[in-house]
Amino acid sequence: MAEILNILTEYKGTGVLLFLYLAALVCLLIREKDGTVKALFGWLPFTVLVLFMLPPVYRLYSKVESDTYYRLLWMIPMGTTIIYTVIRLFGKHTRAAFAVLCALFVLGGTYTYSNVNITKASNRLHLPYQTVDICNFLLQDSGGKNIKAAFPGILAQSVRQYTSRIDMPFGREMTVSKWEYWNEVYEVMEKPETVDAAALVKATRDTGCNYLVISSLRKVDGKFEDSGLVCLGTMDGFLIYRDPEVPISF
Amino acid sequence: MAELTKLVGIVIWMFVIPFSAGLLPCALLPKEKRTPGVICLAGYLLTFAVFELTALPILLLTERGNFQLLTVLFTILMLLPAAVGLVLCGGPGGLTLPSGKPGREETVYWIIFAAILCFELYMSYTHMFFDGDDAYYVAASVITNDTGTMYRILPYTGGATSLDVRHALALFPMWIAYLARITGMHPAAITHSVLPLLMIPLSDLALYQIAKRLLKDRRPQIAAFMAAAALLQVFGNVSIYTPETFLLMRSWQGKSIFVNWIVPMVFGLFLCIAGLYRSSAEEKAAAGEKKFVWLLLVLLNLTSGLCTSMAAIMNVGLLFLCALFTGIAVHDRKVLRNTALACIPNFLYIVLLYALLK
Repeated sequence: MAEILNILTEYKGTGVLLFLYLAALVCLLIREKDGTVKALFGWLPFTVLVLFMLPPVYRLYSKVESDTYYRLLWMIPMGTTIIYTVIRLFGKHTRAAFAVLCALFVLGGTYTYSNVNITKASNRLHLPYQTVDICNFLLQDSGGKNIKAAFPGILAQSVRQYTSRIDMPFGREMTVSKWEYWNEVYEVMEKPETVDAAALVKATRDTGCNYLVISSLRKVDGKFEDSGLVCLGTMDGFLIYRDPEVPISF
Repeated sequence: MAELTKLVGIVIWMFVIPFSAGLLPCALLPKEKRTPGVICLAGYLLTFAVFELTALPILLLTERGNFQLLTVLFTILMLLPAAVGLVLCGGPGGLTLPSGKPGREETVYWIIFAAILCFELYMSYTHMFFDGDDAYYVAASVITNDTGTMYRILPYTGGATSLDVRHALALFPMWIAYLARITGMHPAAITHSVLPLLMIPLSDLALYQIAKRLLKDRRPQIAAFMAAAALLQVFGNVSIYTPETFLLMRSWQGKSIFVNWIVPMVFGLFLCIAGLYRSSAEEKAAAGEKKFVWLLLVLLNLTSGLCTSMAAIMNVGLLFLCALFTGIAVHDRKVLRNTALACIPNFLYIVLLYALLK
């Protein structure tokens, strides 16, 4: 039960919209005259809410998927119910109903575009420009051949959204800690504060990487050149190395 | 010139063909109910359902999922209903445009709605919404577009793999790859820049159908409903789990399409079904209209399978509850029976998923 309440609390988030919805639901169940509307927007969501709160339902759902139980709440038309109930409550006074709804949503909600995950796009692909620049550079350097390159975690998520011609030793799966994957390149490239150059080169060679891309701001113990890598230059704040000992064989 | 060609391709394959195809099921409706909104919704449901029906056998029966075959077959299969739809309803008088001059108050609400919608579309086109799941979905579209295979290469890192059953049956990223292949655009550009321009208005269109039925054609109230709904979308980011967050920040993902388009469509359709099956209205209601709503429910089921595997399962549950409560409200068992029949594609989908996972 505690897990379900936790999921509900996380779904509710910072706003008051869930409480608004519950108030609207009670109001609709008491006042609605139309049987179909009452059934579809009153009793049906009430049933879903009851089912959602039942531990056996949670256990059953968790057998299929563990992280998405909150999606049962998606079957409840919360926004529609709040808006409809307020408009009906105010009857002919639509202007007043609209003003109340605006106040409730603006004051009780959270402005979507203030989310930290939203930034100005630098291209139509909506991918980091560093990814596009570096991928283009690598593919040009390889003479258009498919390659394998180790990218830092910050870029790894977007590389294969740009091109499937660059394989990687690790990707997004390593950046989600709860998935608990292990990867030898990730272990030496991303986890330590100071990167051990020789250990990283050994790992990239073991996994067949032709190139290494690393932030120019990372602290590195030793030099990649000492292990035989060739520095091709810096691009958008990232150092790019080629490993002549790993031939391009795709 | 190349950019113009891509733009024309997007307009044709993403808007013109689905709309024309929507005319075909709408031929079952009386002329006054063939509104652009209904045609549009029916057209996209038909498009997605045909895609799922075409792609699923190709994914499972051909070696590595023959995307070239899918591209050719789906193109033909979409051109056919589009052509027939245009012949049946494309002529003068084939569809009904909204009539009646809106009052001042209604106009103000519509202006507010349009302004918020335009703002949402502007933001979705000009801003980048970081979401980790794109590393899978967009990469899957890119791989398919580049290699001509479906779900046989690891999206995160590359390298061959066996069929990823959990994701593979939900083929929405392949539809994006199809659009990329046929228009020449990059799949990431279609996903992030173009799809929100389609999915956000489509979600609003589904909400409009609900508002029309809930508020019984009281036009100023319907307009106020839509303006308030748009405002809620902009201020609905109270957590990362809400439908509003999914709509504005990841409208291109199947799960967002499920919660923001399929679910409202289900409620809209059941309000419509209730109207048709109310005992007083039953005799008057045209048989064609009933066929239309049940056909749409079948297409809706197939589309839910295109979104996510879980959506296909959840949609059956939602439809069962809707049918149960609607059936009780209108005192007609046919609602439950017909819904069960409309769910057959999803029953088969679930059996297939279970068999493949085993």
